[in-house]
Amino acid sequence: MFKKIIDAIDRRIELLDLFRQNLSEYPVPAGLNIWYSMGAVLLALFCLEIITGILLLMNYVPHAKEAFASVGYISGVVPFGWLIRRVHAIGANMFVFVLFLHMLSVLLMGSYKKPREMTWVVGCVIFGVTLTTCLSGYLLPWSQLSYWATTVATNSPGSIPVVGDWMVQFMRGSDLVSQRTLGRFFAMHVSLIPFTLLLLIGAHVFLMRRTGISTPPWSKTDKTIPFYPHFVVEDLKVIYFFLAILFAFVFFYPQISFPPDALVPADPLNTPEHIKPEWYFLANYQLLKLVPNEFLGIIVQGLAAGLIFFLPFIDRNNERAAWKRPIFGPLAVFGILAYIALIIWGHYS
Amino acid sequence: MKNAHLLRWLPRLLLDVHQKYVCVASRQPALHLGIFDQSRRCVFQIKFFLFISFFLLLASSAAIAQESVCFTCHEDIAKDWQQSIHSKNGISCHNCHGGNPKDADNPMDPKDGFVGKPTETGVPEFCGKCHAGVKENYLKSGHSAALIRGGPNCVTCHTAHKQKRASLDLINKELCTQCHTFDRAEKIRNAMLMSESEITNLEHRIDALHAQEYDIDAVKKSLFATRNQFHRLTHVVDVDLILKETTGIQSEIARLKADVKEKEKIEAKRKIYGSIVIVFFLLGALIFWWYRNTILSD
Amino acid sequence: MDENISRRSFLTKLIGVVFGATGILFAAPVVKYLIPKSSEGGENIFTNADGKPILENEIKEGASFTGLSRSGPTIIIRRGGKLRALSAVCTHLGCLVKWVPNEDVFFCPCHAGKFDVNGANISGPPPVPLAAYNVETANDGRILLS
Repeated sequence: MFKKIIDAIDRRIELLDLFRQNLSEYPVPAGLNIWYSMGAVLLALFCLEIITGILLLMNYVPHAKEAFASVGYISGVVPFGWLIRRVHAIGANMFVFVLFLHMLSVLLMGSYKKPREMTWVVGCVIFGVTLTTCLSGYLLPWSQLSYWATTVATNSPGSIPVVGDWMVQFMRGSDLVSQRTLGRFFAMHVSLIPFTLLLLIGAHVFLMRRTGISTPPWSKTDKTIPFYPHFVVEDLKVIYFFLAILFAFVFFYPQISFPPDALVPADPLNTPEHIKPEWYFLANYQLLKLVPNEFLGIIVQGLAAGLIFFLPFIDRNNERAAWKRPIFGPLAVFGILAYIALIIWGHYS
Repeated sequence: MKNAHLLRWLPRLLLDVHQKYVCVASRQPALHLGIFDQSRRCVFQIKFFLFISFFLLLASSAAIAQESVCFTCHEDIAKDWQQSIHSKNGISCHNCHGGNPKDADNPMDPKDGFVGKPTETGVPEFCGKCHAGVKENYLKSGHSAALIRGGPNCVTCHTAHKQKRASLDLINKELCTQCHTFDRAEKIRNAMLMSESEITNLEHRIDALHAQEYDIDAVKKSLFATRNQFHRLTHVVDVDLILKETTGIQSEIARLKADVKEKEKIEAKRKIYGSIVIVFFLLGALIFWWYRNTILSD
Repeated sequence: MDENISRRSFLTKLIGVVFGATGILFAAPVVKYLIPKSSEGGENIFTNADGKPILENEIKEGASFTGLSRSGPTIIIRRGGKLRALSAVCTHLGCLVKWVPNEDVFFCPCHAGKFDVNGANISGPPPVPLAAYNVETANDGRILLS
């Protein structure tokens, strides 16, 4: 009976065909490794963020006078509100972390090269938008931490000549971080950015399907495996592993996202000590501190970002494995190590 | 650079934060009490590096104390104050001594309510401006009766400027035996010991729960009130009174303890469920891995 | 080979269990998060729309006050010194009734239904009377309904 209905529907819209083409008979290279599952992990985390975000939105009040209390209400009073909030905040951190892993593996295995330049470029945009999401979401709890981290972060464009001050004011919607800043960050975080991200992710996956999945540079086999179920279980394995890590932090070390300053309501007249940005901004923060002129620091960062963005067009060598390339290899490794070093330095300085 | 000495007090980290973000501060007129609102652009000034240290001083001192005028002359007192609970809670010179901390020319004008240093016998009145309950109890005490004969006032035990958050450590042999033997003091100390340690213990547990974002504001407030009531009481320095009132204090502590315990139970439960969830996901990963190997081997 | 097939079907089932458990694991907190909190126990206090208790002396002789109780919008009138509490929800289509002192009736603005002082439906479409509540006054002047 059930099968009959399915068959009847399928005779008309031929959905199963689509399923066969795109999943069960969609061949992927057999030599793929764990790094090829990072995209799937990101997709799972993205869904988790959307769902928890919608749930948080039901109780959150985007007003400077009530935001902190409403977040406290979510964590302290609403059943499982604490869980939803922690998963949202720590999940966002994990999203950025896995995004780093994803980009690193693509970088080191040379997967960004022809014909996948566009996928890389869209991926870079996703990375930028993700960081904007994190920054805008960071302000919403209106704690001392969010207020001052946002003050510091929105202040850096101020050193750009001519338009700098105007940019700072535009980002904040006022001279200081205020209700107007909260209003625009909130609107960005809950409506503009999720849809943008969804579109970009769609484009990214579409491009990946058009060009086909790359293989690791060392993979010799031409064999393929069906995407479903073979590669899906591979993806699920990695997703479950990362979920385990996520929940380990959620239950046993939530302080990673909620240090003491996050538990105090924002006070625009009192800067707490030890205000530091989140770890994924620490390298930028440390670099800004190291470069004597702030504008110069911003230029250096802009150049680095541009270099990464246009990498496929700058680096047109056919050799893909980073370790077989005497110039690119050491440069990439040095870049990564320098980035990590800056994060650690920023953390302890 | 008359307040260059300020630099030495500042926590290193605060400096770091300000170092690059001095510009943030200069956009925050409130932080500087309007001292240099005009310096909106500091990056492209020619002598940037000379200026930055100047900004730094102003910015940091303004952030730490809400004024710097008193500190220019009373350097030692300021250093003491820096360690005090008053400093931590934002109580500054003028809150007790009056005067106008922003007026560099004439900060100690009686017209601005400046009262200066109280006399020995005037100290209880002086501190009692804020600590009214403590003063009331102190005035009932033997300490107070002996004040005109050189007996102890508030600062004898609590010090004049580096008051720590009151704890049982204040009742110690060294301090008490300056005037009398320790045995009576020790009795008081012992009478307080249980309640005091229970209060301190509860404070820690509440802080831990707060870090986990439990809704503990009400409990925290009640405990603070209980602690104050208890500490106020001890200033009568009467063992019998302390023992008598301990019953009430204890029942209040017991009530709060039950509250805290309940939340701790919830936390323990969360941890157990959390462990189960984590193990489940790991198991899931394992099963998927196993399944994949099985279908690949076909 | 046989062994492999049976292992595979076992694993397929196991994976079904994993998916089911994952679903429950994620759904349970979400459902709990979404289920409205049942009204707390304790006293059923008459309040204004913001939840602030209305005191007994705030309702003057002959006046009416529409507020909230646990049963929803409630109207209280004072007649002959005594308070009388009724559900303010018209039994016809759920509009809120108003007290018309001149006519001694509760009047529903939606379809001109009328109820008498005791809540009995006397004219218009309402099918049944308004629910009446017992009124008690607490020592501090708050109005308790039951």
